[in-house]
Amino acid sequence: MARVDLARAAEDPADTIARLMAPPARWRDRLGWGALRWVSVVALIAAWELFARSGAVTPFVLPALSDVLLRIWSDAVFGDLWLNTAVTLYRALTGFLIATVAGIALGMAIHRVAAIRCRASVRSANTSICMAL
Amino acid sequence: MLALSRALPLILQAVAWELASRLELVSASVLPSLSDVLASWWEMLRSGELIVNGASSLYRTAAGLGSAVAFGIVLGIAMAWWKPINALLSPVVEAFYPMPKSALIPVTVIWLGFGDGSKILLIFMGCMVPVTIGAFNGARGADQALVWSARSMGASRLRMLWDVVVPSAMPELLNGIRTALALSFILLVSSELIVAREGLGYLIGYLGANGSYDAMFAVVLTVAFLGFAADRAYQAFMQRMLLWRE
Repeated sequence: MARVDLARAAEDPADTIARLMAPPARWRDRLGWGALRWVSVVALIAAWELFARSGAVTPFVLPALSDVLLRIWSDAVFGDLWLNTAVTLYRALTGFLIATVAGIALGMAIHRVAAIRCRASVRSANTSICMAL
Repeated sequence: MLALSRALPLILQAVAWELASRLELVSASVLPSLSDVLASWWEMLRSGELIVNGASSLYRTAAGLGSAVAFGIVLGIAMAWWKPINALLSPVVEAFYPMPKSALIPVTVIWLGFGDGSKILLIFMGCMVPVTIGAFNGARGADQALVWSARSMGASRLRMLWDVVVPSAMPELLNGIRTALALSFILLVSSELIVAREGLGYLIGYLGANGSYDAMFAVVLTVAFLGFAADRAYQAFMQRMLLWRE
């Protein structure tokens, strides 16, 4: 078990407890956790590509990742990827803007006007907001 | 009196709705009157149409949400407790988090077909994320002093996990499940609207396409009520689960 360093324990107890409990494995400290984070991403990408190319599934069910990326490239250069992206972003941002303005106004109104600040309106408004999410 | 004042906004809204269409301020195809909607609701309830489709929708939600909760709790707590698991899986969870799950509706249909499977998979994928994040944040926030005292009293790692980490994770976890509950209804209706042969979402799309707008609004109200009732029931359950905090 790793040696307890009291000065550091005072600084960051979470680190100390992790060190105390983890089995001693020096290579992990040297390599760092950053590298491990990439392992799953690379593994996932490789698994997708290999599985799609293995012939176990048709390209209709799962096209290879490389084919998908090529398609994105050709849509971006020759197709209307940007037009569709612009339309989608316009809709999303406009709706979000209207909702933000209306939501802030409604929230302030509920706070200021005593008549509608009964428990009922606030709680039902809460519920509707949660359901709308 | 309090009950009346709480219901008042809803009653006013219902009256305004009825008047708007009775006085022909809006055409009946834009907004059929509330009384017509309620009449066709009763008709659909009696014919069994609402029950059959509602049961199929509720089964899909329950199956998808239930498996998402089970899987998300285990995943979130494991990620908070073992650093290698966190390092391996957090990039995947982070990449999956902001993705609109409704974009996957065609994919789930290609994989699992028109039936229950594709809806359950979609709801599972969508609801897993908030549950995982809730469990992860909750377990991460476990008081280190409590973990230490459990440790010093000779608790095993599993014992600490069960007696200290899981209870501390509970409030955030339950909030994550509440978000997932709301999300499950959204994903259910949108997936049934796009490709389905039964279910409440399918009924909305089918009736709307046929121009039976009063029946369509009746189904919309049913879905809204089911979502509201589920959320209220869950809140009551949540308060019971967190009684020990008081």
